[in-house]
Amino acid sequence: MRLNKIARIFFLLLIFVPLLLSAQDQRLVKTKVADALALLPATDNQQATRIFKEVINLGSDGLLLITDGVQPNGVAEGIPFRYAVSLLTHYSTTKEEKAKIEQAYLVALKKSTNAEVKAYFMDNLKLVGPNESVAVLKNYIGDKDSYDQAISALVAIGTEDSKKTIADALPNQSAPAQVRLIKAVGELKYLPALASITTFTSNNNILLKRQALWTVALLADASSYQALLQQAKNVGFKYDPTEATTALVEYLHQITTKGNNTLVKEISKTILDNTLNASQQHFRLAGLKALAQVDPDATLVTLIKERGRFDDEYKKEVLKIAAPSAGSAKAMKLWQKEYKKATEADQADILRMLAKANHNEGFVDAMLLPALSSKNKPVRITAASEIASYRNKNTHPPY
Amino acid sequence: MKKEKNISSTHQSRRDFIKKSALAIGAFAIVPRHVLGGPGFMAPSDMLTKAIIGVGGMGRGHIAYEGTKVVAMCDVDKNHLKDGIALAGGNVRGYSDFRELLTQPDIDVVHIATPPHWHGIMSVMAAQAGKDVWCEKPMTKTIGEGKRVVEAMEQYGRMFRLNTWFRFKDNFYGMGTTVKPLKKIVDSGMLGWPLKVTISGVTGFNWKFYWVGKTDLNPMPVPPELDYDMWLGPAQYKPYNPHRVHSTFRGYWDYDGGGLGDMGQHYIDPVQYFLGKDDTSPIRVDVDCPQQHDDAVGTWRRIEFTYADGCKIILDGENKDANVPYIEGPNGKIFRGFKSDIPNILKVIDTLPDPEPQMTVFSDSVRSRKKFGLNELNGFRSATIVNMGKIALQLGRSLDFDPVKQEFINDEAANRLINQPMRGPWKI
Repeated sequence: MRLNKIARIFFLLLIFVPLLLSAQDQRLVKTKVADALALLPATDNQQATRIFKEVINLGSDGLLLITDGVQPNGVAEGIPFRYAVSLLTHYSTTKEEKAKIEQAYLVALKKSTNAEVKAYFMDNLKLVGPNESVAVLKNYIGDKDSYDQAISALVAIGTEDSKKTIADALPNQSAPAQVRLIKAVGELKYLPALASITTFTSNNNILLKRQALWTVALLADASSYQALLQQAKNVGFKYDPTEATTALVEYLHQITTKGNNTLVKEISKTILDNTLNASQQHFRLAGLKALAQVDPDATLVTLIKERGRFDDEYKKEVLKIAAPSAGSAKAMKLWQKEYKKATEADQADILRMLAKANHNEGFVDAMLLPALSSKNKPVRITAASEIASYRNKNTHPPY
Repeated sequence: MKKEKNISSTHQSRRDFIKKSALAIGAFAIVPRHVLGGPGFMAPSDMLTKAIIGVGGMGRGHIAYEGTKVVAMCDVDKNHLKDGIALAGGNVRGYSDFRELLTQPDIDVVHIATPPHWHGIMSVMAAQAGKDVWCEKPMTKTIGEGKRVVEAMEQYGRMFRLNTWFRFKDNFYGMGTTVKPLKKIVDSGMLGWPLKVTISGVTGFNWKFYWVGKTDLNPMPVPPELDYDMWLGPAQYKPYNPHRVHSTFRGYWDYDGGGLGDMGQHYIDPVQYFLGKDDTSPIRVDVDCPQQHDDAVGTWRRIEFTYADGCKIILDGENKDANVPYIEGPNGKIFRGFKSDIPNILKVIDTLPDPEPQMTVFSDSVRSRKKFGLNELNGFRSATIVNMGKIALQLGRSLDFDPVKQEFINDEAANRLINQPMRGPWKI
């Protein structure tokens, strides 16, 4: 009987002591969180680092107490909690720390019913979110209040999983969400989505079409040329709300970076054939630039002819394009010929361009010094200025 | 650039038409131009046209900038647009969407005077529309946007000027002189090398810490005159509160960066110029600051930028050292008011060669297609210094930076802030 009583007491102690200890621990965590919150915002980096370490060492209980305290913007009681979240997001540096914080944010994201608070946690996931966030963020792509932040966070995370999630989510979304998803594919340069994005390049919705054209341009696959060209043709190679010509120019830029010189020449020549109006000259300059970059010798004659087009400002831009390749013997010969037959003002521009391309003593002797006695005043001024510039650069102190 | 003598087209531009008409009139009455218009007269055909985007604050100052005539204005606040148009004399077209303004063929130069979160997008889109650009400082809100502006200006052959000017004119705050004599003395090597430049209240530069944000903004109804969604544009959606918009926007990371964002490029760009760092960036930034709120910009005590050769730019927000020189080198110092430990420094400077001339009138730059003194390339570098500082403040730690790759070294969070996602359809 007595033994039975002792056993009962022991049994009760076995149940209640851990509960009491746990409650005490919980109170301790709460106290520690409250202590940390009272110190925020931290006054300096050392204090911030110390508080961060204290909070992160409280484990998931402590982190959840912090995330639970976040209130919608404007609620005064929530301010210290936002400072605490900011501390966690910005001071975490190791994978382990980020993983703990990410878990707390994901729990908070699921719990919250306020769109602004949800967006806030997604925003914070942009900096700490590793791959584990992808599966959770995926659920918000279809949410009209949260899709933009969710997709932005997926872009910031940028793993293969997040790229695939974005691409897979594209069908059956609202048009604004599709626009954001298409943009995300471009930002992440996710080539496997090219085929599905390309279908949007002829969409009737201008926003979808514009974004799809831009993303296809950024993906820079050789197979996309005809689709982009067709849309630029449809708008007469002009600046328009679909930005089709802009997309073609961006595609040209990306293809040039990739080194597909054959395609660069083809695109550039097509742009040059279709941009004969003054309002298109900036597109034309982009075409000339790419052509001169991949095939400088063959572009020489084109550039010289191009100086007869449009106005003085355009001619000067053409000379800028010519400058990088004007140092070769062939180029010098052709440009010197042009120089001789040019008008007074044009002569000065050509001389300046050649001086930039031939920054050497030989050019100073052969072209600039004789130009000092030219009857043409702008030429004399240009020659003097270029000689001074050359001499100054070569006498600069060595510090 | 907009008038044409197109060998393949009969299209005639505005300036061409006016020029031809003037020639026709001239055929009947040959009178010298200066008799008609007086010395310095500029014919209407020579006058560049401009459009101003954002006319609630800084944009109003752009109306009078020389050599150009305002033909259009844009603002997302109807009251600002109305007031801006009235201020420009009334004969100006008004737009609420800048994209519509960019399609107008009679605009040569687009002035961008919006909050900084729009600067990058609008600059790039203006270039894509074939316009030259005059943009308010800071050049862009992020390093990534700055890179894109540089690319776009190059791609489309556009001219760009940033609207700060101390590298080429006006007395430079506490120095009481222009930057030119500073450049001359630095170039001479008399101060030695490396140099340390301290920008603080002590040396005559106010960091304007009143541009801080509020952490307790209550959501409020959007006033009917404001298109808040368009005001936010690429910035993430946050409920409206009047403190977020108009001049107080400077206190929020989503749109600017407080006093550093507002004045940083004004103060730092001339330093970058006289240190000869226009084609590079610092390799490290150290910060001493209170923890920053993730929405509202706070204050800071010190930000220190270090270049690869040991030169330093120090932003002192506390004005701690009352005797600190503005420029300090191993062989000499220059203090506020151009005082120096070098005897007869002003006389010495008179004997030194002038720095290379700069293009200082943007309309000349547009016509000659010569880069403006402060253009997209050197402007990007000085904006990058400001943006490096902002990222270090937000993260509360020192950061190492690769000036060639334009990336932070071994800091993933910092690199995630180089390109910040844009809301909805906005892209750059």
